[in-house]
Parts: sequence; C-alpha cells; structure tokens
Amino acid sequence: MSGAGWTEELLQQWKQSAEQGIEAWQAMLGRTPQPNLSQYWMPFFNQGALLLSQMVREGGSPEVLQLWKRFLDEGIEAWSKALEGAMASEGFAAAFGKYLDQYLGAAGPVHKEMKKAGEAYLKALGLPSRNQIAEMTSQISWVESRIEELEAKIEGVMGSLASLQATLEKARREGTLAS
Amino acid sequence: MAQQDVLKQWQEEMIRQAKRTAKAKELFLATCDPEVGQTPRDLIYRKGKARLYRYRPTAEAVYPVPVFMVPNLGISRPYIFDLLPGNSFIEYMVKQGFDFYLLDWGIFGDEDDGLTVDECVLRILPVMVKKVLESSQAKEVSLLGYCMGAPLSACYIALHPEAPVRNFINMAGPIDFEKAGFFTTWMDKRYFDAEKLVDAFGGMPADLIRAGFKLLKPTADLSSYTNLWWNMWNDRYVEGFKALNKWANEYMPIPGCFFKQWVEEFYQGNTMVKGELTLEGRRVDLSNIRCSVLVVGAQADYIAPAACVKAMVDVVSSRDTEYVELPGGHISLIAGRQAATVAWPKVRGWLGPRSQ
Repeated sequence: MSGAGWTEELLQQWKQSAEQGIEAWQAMLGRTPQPNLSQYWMPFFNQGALLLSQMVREGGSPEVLQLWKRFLDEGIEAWSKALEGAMASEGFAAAFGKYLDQYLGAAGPVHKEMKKAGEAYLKALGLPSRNQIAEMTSQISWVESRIEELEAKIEGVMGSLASLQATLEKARREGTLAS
Repeated sequence: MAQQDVLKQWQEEMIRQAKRTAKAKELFLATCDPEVGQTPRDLIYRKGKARLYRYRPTAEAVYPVPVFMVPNLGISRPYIFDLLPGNSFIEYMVKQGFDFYLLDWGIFGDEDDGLTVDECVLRILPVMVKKVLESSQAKEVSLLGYCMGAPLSACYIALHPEAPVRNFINMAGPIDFEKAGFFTTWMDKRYFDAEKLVDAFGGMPADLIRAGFKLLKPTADLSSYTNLWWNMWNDRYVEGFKALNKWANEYMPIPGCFFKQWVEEFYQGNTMVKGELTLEGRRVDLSNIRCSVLVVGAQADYIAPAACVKAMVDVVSSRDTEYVELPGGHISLIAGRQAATVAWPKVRGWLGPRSQ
C-alpha cells in the first residue's frame, strides 16, 4: 500500500462527502429550517473511523492519522465557508425572520399565559409574585439612585464648604475679613 | 519509514488513545465545574446589578493610571477575561503592573427589563469611573471596552468630554453597524422585529441568544469537539476546554428596553456612527473623543467584523490613534493561547507608555 494511494483515496472520499453534505444543506435552506445536522456530519466520522480501523488492520503509517485530522479540519472549514455564504444572504435573513415571527406568534402568548398562571398560583399561596418582586427591586434601585444623588450633593456641599473655609482662613490671615 | 519508527509512532499513538479514552470518561462523568475567575479581587462598588471589581496588584511597580474594563452587557459572563490561572487576560495585565478594574454588568432578570442604554451610559458608567478614580486615587483612567462595552464606553466619553479618560481601547467593539456582517443582515428591520420579541418575552431570553450565536457559526461545536478528541491526551488542553466550554454555554439574557434600543438604534439605524444617536436628549458625537485611542479588530470575527470595529479611528478627533488587526476571532482575540502571545502583549505595549 503506497502513501500516495492512501492520500489520493482519502482526499477523494472527503471531497465527495463534503460536496454531498453541502448540497444537502443548501437544498434544505430552501425549506423550513429545522435541520438535524448530525445526519450530515456523520459521514465524516464514519469514514474516519472506517479508515482508522482499516489502517490498524493493514499496518499503515500513523502519519495517516494526522492526514485524517487535517482532512477533517479542511472538511469542516469547507462546510463552514459554504454555510457562511448561504447564511449571509438576504434569502436566509428573510427565512430566519419569518421563522422567528412564527415562533414569536406561537411562543409569545404561551409565555404570557404561563406567566399569568404562575402569578395566580403564587397569589393563591399568599406568596409575592415575580411582578411584585420586580417592582420592589425597581423601588430599591430607585432609592439607591436617590441615595447616590444625595451623596453627590453632600460631596458638592462639603467641597464648597472646604473652599469657603479656605477663603475665610486666607482673608483672616491677610486681615481683610470684615468683622 | 523504517519499521522501528513506525512501531514507535504506533506505540505513541496507542498511549495517546488510551489517555484519550481515560480523559473522555473523566470529562463526561465529571460533576464539578472548573474553577474560573481565580485572580484575587475586591468588590469596590455596586449599583443595581452592576459590580465594580478591583484586582489586587501583584507587580512591584504599578502604573499610576488605572485600567477600567467595560465588557458586553448580557450575552455572556465576564469571567472569560480571567478564565484560568496562566490563561487569563486580567491576571496578565495585573502582573504587568496595571491597576485593573472590571465592570460586571450582572445577571439580568425580569426586574431589569426597564434598563436602557441611556441609563448605562449616563448613570452607571459615570459613577463607576468616579469610583475607580476614588479607589485608585488617580487623576485619570484608561477605558478598555470589549465588544458591546466599546460602543457604550465610546458614548460615555463622547457625552462627557470633560471626563478624565486618558486612553481608550476598543477591542472587538462594533462601531459602524452597517458593516457588522451576519447580524446586520439578520437584524435588518425588514426581517427582525425587536419590539415584537420584547413584547413576547419582556427581554431577550438567554436561549434565543444561544440559538443566534450557534447559528452564526454552525460548525463551531463540531470543530471544537474534533479538536478536543484530538487533544484529549493533553491535560492542559482538556482543562482549558472545560473552562471555555462552561463559559460558552452560559448565556445571559439582555434586558428588554436595552435590547430594543440596541437593535433599533445601533444595528438598524446605525445612529451612533452617523452622529444621530441621542441619549436622554443629548446627541452622541463621537468626534468629541480626543484621548489616545487604540482599536483592535480580529481577522476572523463574525460577531464584530474588523471593518465595523475599524470605523472608530475615522470618527474620533484624537491625534494619537492606532488600529491593529490581529489573528483570531471575537473570543480568541482576548482569550486563549494565541491571545496570550499576540493581543495581550500588544495592549500592554500600547498602554504601558501611555499610563505613566
């Protein structure tokens, strides 16, 4: 078994696998995007595992392992580039926006209803609701802000007092202070 | 290749494979989380959910101008900057003699949905800068904005030209949002209705943020797990992977009002760079920025592509500006082995002489 033969065979297989995967992904982008990506990644791993076991059996060079890793990285990179091109398109953005819109249309009311039900449940148990806690937290934040404002004002007043004191001291020393 | 060499290589590979198997078992059965954020620090101040931390100096001589780092708000936790000992941007900066402060915006809940960009820029950042100066007893500060923290910091400096900011570093922070790649396209106002999303959920839920980021680079997980398998025999690699993986799967929500404003004003309107953004009725004019500016873009950044980051140098009035484009992506620009040899020394080298 020559090294060149292995390399060539591996390269061809990976290229074929990558091309098939990319085609499948691009075809899928035209449909509702609910992909099960694992079915497209699997060929990479299966081929790698197959080649590895074959190599062990036939006593090939471990350098092929490095080669396999390199092909794997290159395969992923090729996928990444292909997906990048597809996802940067206006078509993808429009499909994504439509999907999100549908999701929000369905999930939004459910989320709101669940929140309402949760509130009612907590109320029935005599416990504070999320809204009440949120309201209280906001009030604490407001009080905190007011304290900060007061602190800043006090600092300002203290600064003014200090400068006034210094002016008075200076006037006293110079004897210009009116009695 | 001689038969002996082949045999030796196979032996090595078999040992690695055994180590991989043992590590894989350990990795998947492990219940304890990796210990992240270990650089010693003290809580200096808190405002609402925001926390200001000061990292304890370890260097003999400390630069007189402190560094105040402002990271992204929501999305992810800031411990990425202090991931593990020996793999931490903050630890590195502290060792280099910088008096380092970090703002942690906090983990937001329903009660924070009223938080706005205005409040962050006009209430939180000014107080934090003041506390940094009080704590360090310095007269000036260097601001380091990372990702979303950079445009927020830029707004703060532009609206407070009197603020004692000597240096500003923008690391992977989007400025010209028309050039923000995938997110610009996906969040185009024709397709993305931020108001509807906020109306449905109150804020931007962590799960949707996760979905958006996973979609940005669908092969990222596959690639990282392939590399993990390949390097599974290497303890140090596995340790780093566990910490990074913990961080990469810990998404944070973004408060509703903030998210709506962020999408509509920054992404859809691109108002900041156009000089049309107003916060509490005050126009944000980036040409008010006159301090020294370093802009760092990453060559393979999908979140904030280099072109949208680079725009910063064209809009400020500073005489001392520099733009560098470094290898790596949005995260690997600041965390990881490559960052430790490229980006961190660059930041230190630029900031050091300007912090005297």
